[in-house]
Amino acid sequence: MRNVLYRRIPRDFKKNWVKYLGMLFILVSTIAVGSSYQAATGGVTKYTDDIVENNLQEDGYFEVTNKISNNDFLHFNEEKINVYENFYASENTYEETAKVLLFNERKSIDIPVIFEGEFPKNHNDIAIDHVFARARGIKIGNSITLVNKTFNVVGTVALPDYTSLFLNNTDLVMNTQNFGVSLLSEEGFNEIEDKYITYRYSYRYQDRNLENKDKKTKYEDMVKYLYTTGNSVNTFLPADQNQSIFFLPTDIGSDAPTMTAFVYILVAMIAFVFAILTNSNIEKEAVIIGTLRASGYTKGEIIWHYLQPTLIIALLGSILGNILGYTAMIGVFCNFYYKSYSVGPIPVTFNIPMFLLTTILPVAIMIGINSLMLWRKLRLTPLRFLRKELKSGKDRKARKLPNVGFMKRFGMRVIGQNRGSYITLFSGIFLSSFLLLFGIGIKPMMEHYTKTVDESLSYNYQYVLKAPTDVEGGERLYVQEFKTYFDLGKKDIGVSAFGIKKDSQFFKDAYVSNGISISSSLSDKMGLDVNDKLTVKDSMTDKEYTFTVNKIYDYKASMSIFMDQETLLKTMEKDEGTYNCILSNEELNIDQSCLIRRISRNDILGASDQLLVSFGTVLAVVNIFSVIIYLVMMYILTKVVIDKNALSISYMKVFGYEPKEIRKLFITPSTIVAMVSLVVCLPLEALCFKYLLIFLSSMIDGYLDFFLPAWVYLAIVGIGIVTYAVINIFHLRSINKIPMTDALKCRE
Amino acid sequence: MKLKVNNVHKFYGTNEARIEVLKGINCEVLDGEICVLLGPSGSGKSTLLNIIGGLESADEGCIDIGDFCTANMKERELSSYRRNNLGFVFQFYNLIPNLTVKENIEVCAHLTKNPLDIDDLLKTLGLEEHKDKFPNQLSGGQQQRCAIGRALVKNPSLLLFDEPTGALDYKTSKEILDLIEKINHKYKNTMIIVTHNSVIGEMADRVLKLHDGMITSNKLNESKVPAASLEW
Repeated sequence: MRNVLYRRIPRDFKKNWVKYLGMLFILVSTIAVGSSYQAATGGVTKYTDDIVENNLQEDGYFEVTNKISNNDFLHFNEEKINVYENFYASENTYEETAKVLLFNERKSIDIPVIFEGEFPKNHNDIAIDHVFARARGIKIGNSITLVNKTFNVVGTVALPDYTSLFLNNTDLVMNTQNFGVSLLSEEGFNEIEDKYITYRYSYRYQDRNLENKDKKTKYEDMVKYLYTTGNSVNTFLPADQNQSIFFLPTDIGSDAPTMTAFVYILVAMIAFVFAILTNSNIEKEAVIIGTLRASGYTKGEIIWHYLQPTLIIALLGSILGNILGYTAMIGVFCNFYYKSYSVGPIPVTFNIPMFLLTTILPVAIMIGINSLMLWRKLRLTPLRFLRKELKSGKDRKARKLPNVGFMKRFGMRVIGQNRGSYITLFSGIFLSSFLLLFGIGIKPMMEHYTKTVDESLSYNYQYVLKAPTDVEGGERLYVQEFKTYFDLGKKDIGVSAFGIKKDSQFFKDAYVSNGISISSSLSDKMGLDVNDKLTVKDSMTDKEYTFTVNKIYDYKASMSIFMDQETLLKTMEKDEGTYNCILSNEELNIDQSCLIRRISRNDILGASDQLLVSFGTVLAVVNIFSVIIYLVMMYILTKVVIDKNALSISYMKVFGYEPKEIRKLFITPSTIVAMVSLVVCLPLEALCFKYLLIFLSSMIDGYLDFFLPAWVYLAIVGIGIVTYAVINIFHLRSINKIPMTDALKCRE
Repeated sequence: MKLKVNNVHKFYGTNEARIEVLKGINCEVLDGEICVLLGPSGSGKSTLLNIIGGLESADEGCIDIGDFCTANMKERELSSYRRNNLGFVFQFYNLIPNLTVKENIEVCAHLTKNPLDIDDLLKTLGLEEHKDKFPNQLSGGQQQRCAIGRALVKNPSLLLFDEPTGALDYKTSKEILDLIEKINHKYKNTMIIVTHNSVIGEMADRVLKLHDGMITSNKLNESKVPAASLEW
C-alpha cells in the first residue's frame, strides 16, 4: 500500500502558503539571478570565442597613407598572412561631439553581425553599431548625415573588431556616447569622397595555432617589411594590443566567482530558514512523530517525510528559477552587456555544468542542511517524542532571569525559547542589509573615490610613448608596466613603475634614492608596509624583480611604484636618459602614432562613472532583491515565534490579557531582536563591505577607499524599520485570529 | 502470540539519585489474552508497557515475544519489532490532524504487506460515516476509535493501550472498552491495557497489579464481566 503521509504535503502547503510561497519566491529569484547571469556571461563568452573563427575576426590591422601594392599582398601571402582591405571613412563631428567610422562592406574579414534590421544594400543605406545607436537614440528608419552624405538607417550591427568602443586605443575607458562604428554597402562606400577615407588593412594568420611568440615575430616582421618597402604606416595594432578587441573577453566573467558565492550564500540562508521551519514543525508534531515511530516507522521514513516539502520547494525553485533565468531574467543581464558592449545577439545555449551549478547544487545544499538537522533531531527516542522532550539534557532547569518585571521576564523567555529562529533572523537581516548597503552605498563610495583621485592626481595628462618625441613641455620620465600577484584576488594585477627624478614636479614626495616608494592605494590594496618586499614581473620577458618598500606615498590615482629614474633604467637595461612617458598639466600636441597610451584626468575620473552606468541595472536589482529578502525572512522567522506560542497566546486571552499586553509579550521580543540585529549588523556589514572592496577594486584602475556617509547607515536602518512595521501589521492580524477555544481543548 | 517478561529491571537517574522503577518483573501473557496492568501513579506500569513496546530498553532482563527477544536489540531491530508485532493506542489519540480518519488508519496499513480490510475495519469501529472527516471534526471517542483502528490495521500480534479511556467520559469510555473487547474476539490479538481504573480489570483475562516497581498480584480472571456491563 502506498504511504498516505504524502497527502499531508499539499495540505501543509495550502495551510502555510504564505511561508512556502515566500521561500519559493526568494529561491526562484536567487536561482534566476544566478542562472541568468551565468547564461548571459556564458553566452557572451561563446560569442567572443565564436566570432574569432566564424566571423573571421582579425589578428591585427595597420593603416597606411597610401594603398599597399599587389607585391605587398603577395609578400604577406608568402608569409602565410592573409591581408584584406578594411577601408573606412571618418566623420569626426557627428552632431558636433561624436566620431563615427563608416566601414565598407566586409566579406573576407571581421564579418559583421546583424543586431536588428538588415545589412545595407543600397547606396544610401547604413547600419549603425547598436551600442552607439542606443546611446545616441538612433533608430532604424532614421536618416543620418555623415561625411556630407545622408543615409537611411536600415539596421544595427556589431562588428567583431569593435566589441568595446574605445575612441582611441590609448583611452582608459570606453566611450559609447562619442564614438561609434557603422557599415555601408560597397556601392555607398564608393560614393564617399577620398578625403574621408583611411586605408586600413586587416590581417589574419593562415596558421590558426600560432604561439604568442611566433605571432610577435610575424608582427615585427610585418612592421619591418612595411617600413622598408616605403609604405607610410600610421598605425599598426595587433589584436592582442587592441582594446576594442581584447577588452571584452578579458573583462567578461571577472565577477563570476562573486556572483556564484552570492547565490550559494543565499541558498544556504534559505536552507537554514527551511531548517528552522521544519524544526518548529517537528516540535509541534513531536507526539505524532513519536506515535509513528512507536508504530514501526523507521527514522529514515520520518526524515524522508519531513524532507519532502524542502525537496519539492528546492526542486521547484531550481526548475522555475532556471526557466525564469533562461527566459525573462536573462534579458536584464543581456541588456547589461548590450548597453556596454557591442556584441551581436547573445547566444543562449544550454550548458550542462552551468545547469548543474544552478540546479543540483542549490538542491543539494537545501537537502544537505535539512537532512542534517532532521537526522540530528530524530536521534531522540520515540518515547522522548511522545513526551515532547525534544531539548537535549535530561535535567534542564529554567534559566534564572534577573529580578525584573513579569512582562520583561516573559519576553526574555520568549527570546530564549526561540533563539534558533532569532539567530537565523539575525543572519537574514545581516545578509539583506549587506546587500542593501552594497546597493545603496556603492554610488557615494564611487563619488568619494572620484573626489579623492581628483585631489590626489598631480597632473592632467599622461602620455605613454612608443618612442621619444620632440614635443615641448611636460615632465619626461620612464614608466614600466609590471604585473604583481594579488594573493587575495588570486590574480595578477597591473602596477606602473615610475622612474622619477629627485626634483619631480608631479611626484614631489615620492622620490627615494634606495628601493622604492609605493602609492598608498597599492599599499592599501596589497597590504604592504615600509620594509616589505614587492615582487613584480615584466610580462614581456617573464623576468621577476623584487624591491624593498621604503616609503608609502599618499597617492590614490593608480597602483604605482616610484623609484629613481636611473635605477629603473639600469634595472630594465635601458640607456641612460631614456624616457617613454610625459606628464603635463596642459594637453600636448603629440601625434597619435607616437603614443601607446594617453590618459587624461577626465579618463581616470570617468572610470567610476562608466562603472556606475554598467552596473546601474544590477544595483537596482540588488536593492529590490534585498528588500524582498528582508520582508520574507523577517515575516517567516517572526511568524514561527507566534505559531510556536499560539497556545500560550490563547491562554493569555482566556486569562483576560488585553491585545496590547499580548503584543507586548509575544511581538515585542521579536521587535527587539530585529531592531538590535539591524543596528548590530551595521558595523559587521561595513567590515565585510571593506573586504569586498578589495576584490571590487581590482576591476578599476585604483583602490577604492572604504567610505560610507552616515545617511547610508540611516537609510539601511530606516528601510529595516519600515519593512518590519509592515510585517507587524500581518502579525497583529494573526494574533487576533488565534481563538480562545484552543486553550480549552483537551490536551496532554 | 505469547509474551514473556523475564526479570526486567529498570533504573532512572545516576549515582545517589538513581531510582529502580522496575525491580525484576517476571510475567507471562498468553496468546489472545486481554491483560490489564493496574497500579497507582509511579508504580512503573507505563515504564513496563514502554519496555514491552520497545520504546524503552530494560537495564536488565528481556521481553520474549514469539521469536523475538528485545535484549540487546539495536534501534533498527526495535523499529522492525514494533513494525511487525505491535500496535499502540495512547490516551490522547495522537492522530495526524491533516489526514482524514481513513487516511490516519492507512498510515499504519502502509507498514504491513497484509493489512486488514480498511472498509471492514471502519465498519467494526463504527466510523464508516466519518471516514472522510479530519480529527478536529470528531468527538474524543471517535478519535480514540480511529486511533484503535490505526493500531489494529496492521493486525499486530500484540496491542498496547496506554490509559485508552483516560481522556474520555464515562459513557464513551465504556463504548471504547466494549470496542476493545469486540476486536479481541474478532481478531484474537493479545492486548495489554495500562490503567489506574481497577474496574477495567473485570473485563480482562489476566490482571497484573504493580506497586513500587514490583508485581504484587498476577491473577487470571475467572469471572470476566463484559465491558458493556462495567460500572464505576
